[in-house]
Formats: sequence, structure tokens, C-alpha cells
Amino acid sequence: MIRELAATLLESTALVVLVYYLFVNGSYLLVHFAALFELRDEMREDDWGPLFSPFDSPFLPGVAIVVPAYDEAPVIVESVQSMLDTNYPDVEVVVVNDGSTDDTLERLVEAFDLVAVDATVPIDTPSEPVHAVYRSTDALSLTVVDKDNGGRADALNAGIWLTDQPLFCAVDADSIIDRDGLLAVVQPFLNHPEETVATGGTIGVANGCTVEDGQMTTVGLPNRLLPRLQVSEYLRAFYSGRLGLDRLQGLLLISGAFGVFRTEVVRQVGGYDTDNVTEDFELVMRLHQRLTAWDRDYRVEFVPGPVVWTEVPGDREALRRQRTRWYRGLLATLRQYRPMVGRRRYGPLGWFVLPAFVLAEAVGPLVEGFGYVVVLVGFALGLVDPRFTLAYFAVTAGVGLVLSWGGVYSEVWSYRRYEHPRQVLELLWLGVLENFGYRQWKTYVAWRGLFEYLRGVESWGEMTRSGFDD
Amino acid sequence: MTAPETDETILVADDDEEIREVIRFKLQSEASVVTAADGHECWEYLQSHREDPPSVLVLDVMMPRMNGRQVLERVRDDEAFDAMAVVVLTSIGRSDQVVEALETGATDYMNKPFSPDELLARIRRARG
Amino acid sequence: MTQYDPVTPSGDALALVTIVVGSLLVVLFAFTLGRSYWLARDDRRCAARRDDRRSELLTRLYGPDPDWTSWVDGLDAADRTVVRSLVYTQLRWVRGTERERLRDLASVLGLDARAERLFASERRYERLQGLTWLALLGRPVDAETVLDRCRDHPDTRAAGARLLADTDHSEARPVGTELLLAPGRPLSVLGVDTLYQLYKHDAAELVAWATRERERWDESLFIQVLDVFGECSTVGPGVSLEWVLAGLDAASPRVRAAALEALTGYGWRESVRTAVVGEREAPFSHREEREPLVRRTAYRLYGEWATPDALDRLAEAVWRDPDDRARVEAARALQRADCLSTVGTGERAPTDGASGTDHVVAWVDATAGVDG
Repeated sequence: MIRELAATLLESTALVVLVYYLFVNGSYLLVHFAALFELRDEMREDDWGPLFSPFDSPFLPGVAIVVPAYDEAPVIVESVQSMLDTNYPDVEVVVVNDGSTDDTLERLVEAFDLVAVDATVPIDTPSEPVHAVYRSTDALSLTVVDKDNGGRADALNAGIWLTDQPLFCAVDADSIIDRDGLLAVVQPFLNHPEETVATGGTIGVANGCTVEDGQMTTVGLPNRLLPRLQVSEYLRAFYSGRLGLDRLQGLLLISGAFGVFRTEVVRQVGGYDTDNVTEDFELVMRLHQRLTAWDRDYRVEFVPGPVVWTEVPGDREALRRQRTRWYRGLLATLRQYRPMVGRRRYGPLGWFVLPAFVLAEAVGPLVEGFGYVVVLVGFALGLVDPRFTLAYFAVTAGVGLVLSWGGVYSEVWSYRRYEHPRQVLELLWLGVLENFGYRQWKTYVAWRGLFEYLRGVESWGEMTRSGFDD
Repeated sequence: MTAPETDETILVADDDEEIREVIRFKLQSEASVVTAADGHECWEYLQSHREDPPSVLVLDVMMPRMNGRQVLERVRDDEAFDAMAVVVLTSIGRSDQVVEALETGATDYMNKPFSPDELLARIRRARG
Repeated sequence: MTQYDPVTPSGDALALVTIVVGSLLVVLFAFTLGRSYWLARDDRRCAARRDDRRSELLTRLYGPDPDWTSWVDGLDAADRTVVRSLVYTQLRWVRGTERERLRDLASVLGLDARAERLFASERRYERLQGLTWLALLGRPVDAETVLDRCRDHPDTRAAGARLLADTDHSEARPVGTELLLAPGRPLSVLGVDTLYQLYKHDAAELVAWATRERERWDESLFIQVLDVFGECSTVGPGVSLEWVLAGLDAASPRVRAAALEALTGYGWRESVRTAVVGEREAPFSHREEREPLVRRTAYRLYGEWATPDALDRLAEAVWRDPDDRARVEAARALQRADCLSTVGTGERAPTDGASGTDHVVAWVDATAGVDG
């Protein structure tokens, strides 16, 4: 009797999980398919691009690179130098020292001959108080803002309110931009200057790469397993996820580590939200919401070519903190913007991307985790055929692998940052490896994030910086 | 390849290999040509040749590891290079940038795309 | 224990899925790795030849007679690929006699025929590639053909107009402008810059076009034309600026700002001065202007004009404008006109409470001090 009940329960659960699974993976495959078309167009555009040199043009918009810096002393000088040397003529670097407890500011003062502007800042920034603004006598396009600690979003807001450039690029201090990356990520603003409000580039894993004087010299794979697995993950997320959503006109997320925005528009919508732990995601959602409400003809675009290289968490605890934070922020933001989900008014973003995103990214990992438990329990009670269990895992892994390998294929087809066949083989192998443990662990992290969210945890989860030549 | 008639050196700093080579081939009958792939390398070379600096520096503006403006500032702050002419060669064609370069102490200024013949003529003139 | 869960019947379906997924994986694996291998091998081969081919090319380029034909005849297919890529990069950086010689080489390599072929293609991206090559090669083109083949998309319109402008075609202005401005859609920066290239030295024809077509443009395109006009050399006193002045009381703040910006170079015209800083019934009044964006533009313009009227207004704005950024802009404009010290003194003294003025002035003064 109990056994029969358990079997019925198991059967219906399995069915729900299966249907769910089909839907989610169907969406992923659809998005991936769309991504291939988008990538093809991007490659074609690269072929005819340089009909004129935008550097000569008086119509090239100026860009402020805004760098929030909290205790970044080991990397800050090198990183600012590399931003100053970006291949873009009209660029201002605005470093916002967010109440660092180390000598971040002192190192900048020394390296770039900074001089404090001897007056109170007359512009009211929606941030913690600004103490001083420094200008450099060595590098004329460098500004350093010194303020009380208020977190990343708060620091960005101070920079955004204090710059006069029409565009700003938010970059983390520990990241390295390709030299030509800024021009490439600004490109949509050149193609559609009247409509484009935000663009984002690709994030690459810097662990294992060789960096000299703030320049990426050799792209390599990290030595340790955990960062290696993240390489495979990032390739898939950008080459299939973002690119596909861009094609479907539903780009939801521009990574905080590398995005360009129209300064005036971001000021209009109120800047970054300092209460949200994934302020980058929240900002893009708010832009979609407000600009649609204002009936503006606008564009938010992803550009796959340019890369910002960033250090990813190297140990499990740090990675878990990062991922639970992402998950909590995802839930909070989706909850805040739930009226947009399923609404036709927002175009494909409203009626397809958001609902699919909620099901796949918010609920998906939870259901998958639940599915693992159910199948294992069923197997332990002898209710499920071992062959079935095996086949279930094989198919889950197989479909996941199709997506991962699709990402690797796109990489080889297009930009080939990992140029050696041996690296490509390694990436393919990582796609396989991801399915044994890492993937399951991530479902656990999602559940944990859910509990933290329900308990109201708001921590950011700090990451210790070790400098580039680690 | 014709051997240069003088023992003077011209330093060409540009991050694009094709441009360095196009210039090197053009100037090699004029002087011995040394190239640097970025601002840092350029400054290092100048530091190690303070006693016998190049007669002319052909300088790109947007370069990695120290840009051309910073190199120019340093060169003009250092009297060892007082006699060295600096020809700024850049793809930034806006007039405010030209003025800025000349104010910082560039001897001459050329835009990319450039005519190698013209560059040679300007180098001859800059050298005096 | 053979009575398993009823989930088993889907085992067949599962097997089918396994096979499908499995074969997809095999194909993906082979394609990915294979492609990576071949491309890496090609890269190695090209890199090995590149230096040699480049020095041969440059020696001939600067020599007395390049004799490209006999050189190219002696090259194998892989070498030609390398040379094509060298020509492509060098054509972009080199001008003058050397460029002419490189163009001869391109023609020996068959690149001009290829460009013509691409330009005639049905596919848009191929036409765009063709246009890029034609511009690089400086090939003469027929204006009618360009109009005909480029009309269908904003990208090809801008590229076609650019080709005409770059090759100094006699029809560049009428045909280029028609391509750029006829549809009333906003332009790319390539389009905006091309319009500027066409009219930068003499914008009188652009004015005629704007006066005639203005009504058909949407807001964005109007703003873009105003931006271009503002960058061009100023037109003579005979040319009417009614179409710009009309923008001063447009409903859209961005249009008002663009119109002001476009008038920056025309402070010498009586009618323009009356419209912008006139006392009575002027279409523009910074006191009534609600948008800080527009006021900021106005302050920049006042600073450029630097007439006593304009400077008075700036001094007033520094203590009266409710917007932080606008006050700073006004103070900066005064600073550029070397009149910052006059704020708060003599005739420009505030008549009512001027809180917050001092630190705006101090800030702008201190910033100018540091930046030199």
C-alpha cells in the first residue's frame, strides 16, 4: 500500500521533472540556435567593419571608464595604466576609491602624480559623501574620486554623477580589458547612436592567463579544477546564453564587470540600486521597464567580440558565496519586476525571455536538484530500474554536454581565444567533467541561496584579491 | 638593402607591427631604424641610450604599457632628449588632439593613414 | 523483483533520446576539434611566410619598379592569401604614391574584380564587403549603380554614400545625401560622419536640403542633421537659418539643445542673437527653459559668444540655476571666457540669496588650476 503510494508519487514527480526538463532544455536549445545566427551576423559585420576610422570622427562619443575600487592596492596601478592605454581616443578613467582600508589611494597618488582639487564638489551625488576629487598631472584623462565606503553600486553612482562623458563603462579594478575591447563594445552605440542605451561584452576567466603590465599576453587555462570548470561555464553562458537572448531581443543581463551605458539615461532612472546584491542585473531590468514605460525606442545589446578578463573564485567556499549571492539577487530582482513577466508590452522580452528565464534560471536548478534526490531515493527503495537511473543521468548529462560543446564550437568558429587544439580538447573534456559533481553541486547552491533569500541574508560575500601574477 | 650613410638612429614606436615595418623599410636607407612595440619599450630604449639618443622619435599615441602622451611628457621633461625631434603619428585626427600634442612638445604631427614619402620629408625637416 | 516502477516504459524513448543526443555529440566533437586543428595549422603556415612576403612586398613597394605581375606569378596559393591580407592592412594605413602602387598590386591579385563581384551580390553583407573593398581600392563607381544597390538598408545606404564621398565622386553630394537623408530614419555614426564629410567645408546645400525636407524627418534625424551642421564650417550671411531657429521652440528638449549647439558658431548673426539672447519674444529663454540639459547647452553657447549679454546671463545662472550640473557648466563657460572672477561682483552681483554659488566658483577655479 505504502509502496504503491510511493510509486505513484514517484511516477508523477518524475513526469513533472521530465516535462520541466524538456521545456527548460528546449528553451536553452532554442536560445543556442538563435545564438548561432547572431554569431554568424557578428562575424560578417567584422568582415566589412572598417569602412571609416571612427577615431577621426568628431561624432565618436567620449567614454568614462568608471572603476569602483575597494582595497585594490595590489592591482590598482597596473589596472588603471592599462585602462589609460585603451585603444580609444576620447576616454576618461574615473577611479572611485570606496573608502578603502588599505593604501589604494596612496598608490594612485604616487604613481600618477595626483593633485586634490582644493574645493568642495558642487554636484550632489546619490552616494555616500565624497571627500575629494583628484586630478592627475601625469595622465590628463585620469580622475580619482575619494569617498566613504558604500559598496560597489554606490561607488559607481558617484563616478556616474561626476563625469561629463556621454557614455560610461563600468569595469572592476581587478579586470583586464582587451586593448581594442572598448571600441568594440561601444560599436552598437555607433551603429544605432539614437537608440542604444546599454551594451555588454564577454567575460573571460583570467586565472591561468599571463598578464604583463596590465596587458593580456597569453590566454591559458587555469591550473586548478574549479576555475577551469568555470571557463567552460562562461563560454556556454556567453556564446549561447547572452548571444541568443540578444538575437531574441531580450537581453536581460549585462555583467557588472563589462558594460557600457548612456550616462544621461542611467542618471534619469536613478543609477545603480545600492540595496540589490546583483545591481548589474537590476539596472538592466529597470532600464527595460522605464524605457518601455516612457515609450522610448531603445536597444540593449550584447557584443561577443570584446572580452574583459577577470579573476574567478578559486576555492569552493568563495565560489559558493558568489553563486548564492547571484541566486539571491536573481530572485529578489525577478520578484521586484514580476509584473513584466509574460507581458506583451515588453515584446519578446516580456512574453518569451522573462518567463523562460524564470523557469530555467530561477526554478530550473531547484527542480533539477529535486529530481536528483527523487531518482536516488527511488533507486534506493528499488522503485526505479537501475538502467533507467543510468539513462536518466546520461541524457541529462548529454543534453548539458550538447550545450557546453556548442559553446566551445562557437568559440572555435569565431574568435578563437583558446587557439591551441590542445586547449580546445581540454575545454571539451571540461564540458564532460562538469556533469560529474559540479553540476549537482550547483543545484545544492541554488537551494541554499533560496533559503538564504527567505531568511533575508544580504551579504555580498567578499573576495580576496591576490594581484594578477598569482 | 642600402646601408645608411650616417650613423644616426631613428626610433619608431607603434603597437602595430605592419606600420612599424612599413616605416622601417622606408627609413632604413636614411638612418638605422630601431623599433619599439609599446610605450614602455620605447621609454626603456631611450633610457638606455641617454648618451647617444636617436635623432628622431616617430611616436604613436595609443599604445599599451604607457601611451604616447605619457612618453612625450617624459621626453620633454628630460634634457637628455632636448635635441631629439618627435614626430607624432596617430589615427586620432581631431584638431584639439593635434594642438595638445604640439603643446606638449611634439616637433611635428601626422595623421594615419599617412604617406611614407611625406613622413620621410617631415623627418628630414624635423631633423634640421 | 521484476515489477519495476511504471516509469520503465519510457525507457525506449529514453534510448532513442540517448542515440540522438549521442550522435549529435560525436558530430560536435569531431567538428570542433577538427576545425581547431586545421585553423591552428593554417595560422602556423601563414605566420611562417608572413615576414618573408612582407619584406619582399615592401622592398618592391619602395623600389624603382615594383613589377607586381612577375612577383605574384611566382607565389603559390597560400602565399597569395598572406599577400592579400598584407595588402588589406597596408591599404588602410598608407597614402600617397605607395597607396597607388598597393592598388596596382591589389588589381594584379584580382581583388578589384572580387570587390565588383561582391558589390553586385544579392546578399547584403557581401555588398557591404564589396563597398569596403571598393573604397579601399579607390575604384571609380557609377552613382546610379550605388543608388540602385544601396537603397535597401540603412547600413548599405551609409556605406554607399561613404564610398562616393571617399572617391570624391562628382555626384557624391546629391546621391550621397539622398541615400542618407531620404528615408527619415536615424543614421549610424558612419552615416552622420559621411554627411559631415560631404558638407564640412560648405554646408549651404545641406541647409537647402534641410529647409526643404525637414518636415519629413523624425526627431532623431533632425537632431543628427543639426549636429552635423554644427560641426561644419559656418555658412555665409546669405544662407537662411530659419530651419535651425525653428528648433529652438520645439517640444523635444533634445531638439532644442541640438538647435542651440548648432548655432554656437553664429553669434555674429543679428537674427540668431535676437533669437537666443533677445530680451523680448525670443523663441528661446533660458529662464523659462525647464530642462537642465538644454540650459547646459545654452550656457556653453553663451560662453563661446562671450557678449556682455551672454556673460550676464552666465553670471546669473551660476547663482540662480536650480540644477547642480547646469551651475557648474555656467561657471565653466565663464572660466573659459576668463570672466569667472566677475561672478558676484559689481553689476553681476546676485540680488537675492546666493547660497551655494561660492563653492561652484571655487570648484571650477580649482579644477582649472589643477588641469592647467
